[in-house]
Amino acid sequence: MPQSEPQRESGAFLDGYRTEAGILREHGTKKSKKLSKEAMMLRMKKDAANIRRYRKISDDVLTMKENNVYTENALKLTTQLLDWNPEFYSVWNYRRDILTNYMFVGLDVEKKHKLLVGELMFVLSKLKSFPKCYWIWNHRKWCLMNDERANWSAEMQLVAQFFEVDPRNFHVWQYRRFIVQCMKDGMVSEQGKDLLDFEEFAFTTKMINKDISNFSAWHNRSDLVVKLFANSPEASEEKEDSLRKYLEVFNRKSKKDFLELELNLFQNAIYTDPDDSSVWIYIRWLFGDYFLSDLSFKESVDIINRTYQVISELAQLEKEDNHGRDNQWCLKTQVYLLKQLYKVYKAEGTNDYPEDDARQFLEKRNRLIELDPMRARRYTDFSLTSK
Amino acid sequence: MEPQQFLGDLHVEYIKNLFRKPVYIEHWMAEHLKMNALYWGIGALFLMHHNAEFEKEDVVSFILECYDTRSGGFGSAPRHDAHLLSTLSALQVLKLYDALDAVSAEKRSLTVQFIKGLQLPDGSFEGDRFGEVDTRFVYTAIQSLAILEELTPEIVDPAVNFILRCQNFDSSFGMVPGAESHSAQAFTCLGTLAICHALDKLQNVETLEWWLSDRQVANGGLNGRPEKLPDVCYSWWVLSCLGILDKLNYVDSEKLTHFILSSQNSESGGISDRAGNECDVYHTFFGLAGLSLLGKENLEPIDPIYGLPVNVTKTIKKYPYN
Repeated sequence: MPQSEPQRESGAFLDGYRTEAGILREHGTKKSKKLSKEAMMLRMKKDAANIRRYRKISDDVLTMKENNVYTENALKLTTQLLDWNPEFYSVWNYRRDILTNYMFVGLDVEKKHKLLVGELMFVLSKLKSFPKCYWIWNHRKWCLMNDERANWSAEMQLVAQFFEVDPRNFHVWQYRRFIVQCMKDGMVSEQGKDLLDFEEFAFTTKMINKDISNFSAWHNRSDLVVKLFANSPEASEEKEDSLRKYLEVFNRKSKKDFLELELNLFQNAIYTDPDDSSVWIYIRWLFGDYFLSDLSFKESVDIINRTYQVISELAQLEKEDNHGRDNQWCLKTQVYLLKQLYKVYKAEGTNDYPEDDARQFLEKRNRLIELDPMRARRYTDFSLTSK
Repeated sequence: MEPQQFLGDLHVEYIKNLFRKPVYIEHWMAEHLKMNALYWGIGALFLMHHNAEFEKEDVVSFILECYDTRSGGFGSAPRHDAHLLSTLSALQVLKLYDALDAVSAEKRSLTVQFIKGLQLPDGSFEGDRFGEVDTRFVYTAIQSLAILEELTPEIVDPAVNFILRCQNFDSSFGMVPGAESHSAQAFTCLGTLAICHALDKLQNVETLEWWLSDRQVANGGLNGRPEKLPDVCYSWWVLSCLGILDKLNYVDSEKLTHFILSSQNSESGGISDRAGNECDVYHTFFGLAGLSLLGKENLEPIDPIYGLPVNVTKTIKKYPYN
């Protein structure tokens, strides 16, 4: 260990590098007090023994890896090293090679499953401390892909536990979708697969009702809606009223009736928190081409106008509550709806787009330029005819 | 209290210090990021016109030490396994020093094989042979092949199709089809489309532009997803996308500049995710990259597609070739 201030010659990074000032910190790490020289020396002394141990075990593991050593002892050493540093991806790789080339050899399905259950427990202990580490999630998936007896419902319970801690961790959402896909891949019946999609759809409703600003849930909902319009399970199977209504709509492939149902949901959400962008982004999608292209001219005009009305009422209330200040998300959605309405008229080949709507469009867009000057330029580019 | 002047000299010192002999345990524990750190650190120095802080020979020989003879790619540190992430960083740094020739023809062709071999039938790429798929790896593969000038329609066309499948209901992009939008993934997807000369295939551009500009929050900083806190690194991930779409003026450049500058450390240099937090080289580089895109502080102009200075990327042959 260096006793004096380290040398500063160029190329010194060949020896390693220091993260005194950090390579990539956990986001949101608060600035710590600058260490005094004495404190620094003390810490270096304290770390020296750890560094020796860490480097020794890293060297040992990398050497065994280079020599293709696949033994139980090697596996143990990777456990020790990963306990210390679960970001060491090369060691996860080596661990998988040890499992594949040695531990799995000669095991029947049941014994392999048992071994992998143990492996999953190790992975879980790492994930609890590092819930956003790509390498660890990846290893968990690898384990499940190698286990013919994988217990998917246990994995779904694990996902639920992680959502308790952070309902927007995108690793967890992605993992959930992965588990669902694995469950579907293991099913013979198409009806069963569709039912699973619908259960996931119902789950997003639950998550949204718990917290309307969970954008991850709105996102997943949009993905599932498209799937369910393509294929959905029989409505008669569903006992719960509100869910059966959705199923009937999916069975009939009626995008118009779906919009009617969603109108209730988002009306609730925008009244709960009018400043939360999640639901507004969802509404924007509901009135995009995916839905409107399936509606007749009359249906489109009718539902856009009714939605516009709902938002106008909220906008009015918001204005009264906020000393005359307009809610920007109401305005943004209003101009968007007016533009979509314009497109509907255009597609119908009529020039009857109401003059009052055109006037409203300009008035609201100009109001946005005033209220939201950070994005003034995008509003000036935004017209009824802009692409 | 928070700095409002650009502290370039301090940042240079900060980055030089970073590559001194490691003394704390966590210095050793961050080796899996070393190659990326090299790209962020040296990239930052080049943006500040400090191209000669390190000896080219030293840098090049370090990178060659990270070449993984088993696979043909580059690892993050000597003896670490090759991965697409570290392979791109290695190639980017070599390109910065105009030193691609240092890789022998034989090794270079194995690198090309390594990258191409990781493409899956659906056009996506896995990061290494263990199956993790992510649009990050599509981007790193495609830019790596672009630097090596080895793109072909057989690689590009399926990759473009995969990227287009990753566009979501909000018009932005996620890590795989069905995954939630995130601005860093928006960058990897738009960057891939741009390198592949396929931006004309992009749908719902106006909604995407709105999604991107909505990432700017009241204090001027940008966030990565709706209802999340702002963070300096999105000054790159979001702004580069707007740069690619030629809509940099869809956010408030002065407010963003203020946000980045106030995240500087005025004692020891470096930039953190937000004012008052601990700095690291990742946020330092992406903060500088953001300032460069905004044309601030006399920084070297950066190419929003490649994350390299424009004077470097203009030497890359553009796809489709001839």
